[in-house]
Amino acid sequence: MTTLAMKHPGELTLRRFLAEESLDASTTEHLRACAECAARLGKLKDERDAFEAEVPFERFAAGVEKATRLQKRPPSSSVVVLMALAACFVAFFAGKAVFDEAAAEGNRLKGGPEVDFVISGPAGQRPAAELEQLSSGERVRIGVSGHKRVLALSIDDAGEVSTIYAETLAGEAQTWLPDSIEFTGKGREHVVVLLSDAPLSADALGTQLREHFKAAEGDVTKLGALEVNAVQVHRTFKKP
Amino acid sequence: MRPALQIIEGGKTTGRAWLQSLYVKYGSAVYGRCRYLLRDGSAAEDAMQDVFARAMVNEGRFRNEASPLTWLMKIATHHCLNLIRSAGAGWRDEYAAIQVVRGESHGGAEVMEARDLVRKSLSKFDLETQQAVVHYWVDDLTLEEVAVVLERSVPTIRKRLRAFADATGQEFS
Repeated sequence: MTTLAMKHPGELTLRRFLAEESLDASTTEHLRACAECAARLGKLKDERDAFEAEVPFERFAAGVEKATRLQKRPPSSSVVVLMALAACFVAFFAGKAVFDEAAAEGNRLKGGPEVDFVISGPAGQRPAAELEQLSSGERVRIGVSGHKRVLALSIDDAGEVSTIYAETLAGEAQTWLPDSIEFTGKGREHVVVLLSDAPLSADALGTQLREHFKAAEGDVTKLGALEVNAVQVHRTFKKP
Repeated sequence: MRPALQIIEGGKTTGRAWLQSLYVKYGSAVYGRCRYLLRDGSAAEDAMQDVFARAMVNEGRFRNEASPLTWLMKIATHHCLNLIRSAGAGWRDEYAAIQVVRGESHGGAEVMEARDLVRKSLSKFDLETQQAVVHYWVDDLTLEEVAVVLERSVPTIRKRLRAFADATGQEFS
């Protein structure tokens, strides 16, 4: 059967062709050679032009971004806030909200502080576990809400501390911090995200993180919570 | 100082660029599907935004789809059928009010009319049958393709389509 003699492809196939999706060779050949299908494709192109005139991109993008924010639900298992006893007392007397896993799984107060670690890669997306093995090409995105300031620090197996983010947020609504992060090198990287309404000192907290590292004899999974009046969330990533 | 970290682009700028490519490639098709089912331009635009937001939220999965358009059309169809159900809206049946912006591309007015009849008959059937009907008679997918899209067996889809065809006089072999 020649490509012209084959049954005309259905509409979805035509739209896929127009969207430059991969089709089997005989279908592609048919669509390139068939006058009737060319006419149908022409009408779909006209329809596309009419759509772009009716719904301008800026309006489309603004609507999609708004809908995206509404659809995003923090993965309930991703939030584990580690608070040292001393920090708990501080938080208690300061009237700060203290979140634990139970809170994350259903008792979270609306508008309360939240930190989400989402891993994205070729296999899709997933919330990060406390100790997360990353695969090649996977990146980490951090979402925060509930406080005005965020500080994210990391420390690797060698005790090298890095400031990943030190941001003042526009509001307390959920914000995905700019850029996604890919960890390079080998070994483990421990990330601490701190949320507070008061300024957070990256230098002081970095020093404290190094002290915890020494006390834990270099085991980044045993650093414990920092002594600071802030919500803090810890994650350890095993690099690919 | 980020000595151990490499920052990869993924912020708003990249998001907008990706969104623009989705808009150009798929916007018209998804909007057409929403408008075909909802028959209201404003509602269709809102629904379309929800569908693309789903793609944004599930970016990893979406990017790995063999046919992103098929995935979007599945989501759009399901979403619109659910909107109609949850609104308790009857399927409006006034031909005069038809605002179908698609459907003329294959077979002209006759096909458009047939598609409108298909749409009007959907309300009598369950959601899965509705989805199967739209993908089969509107998207022109084969029985096997509909089964793949809806993650059901071919006999199940055949049974659903047969029931629809018997009740509405549609051709089905």
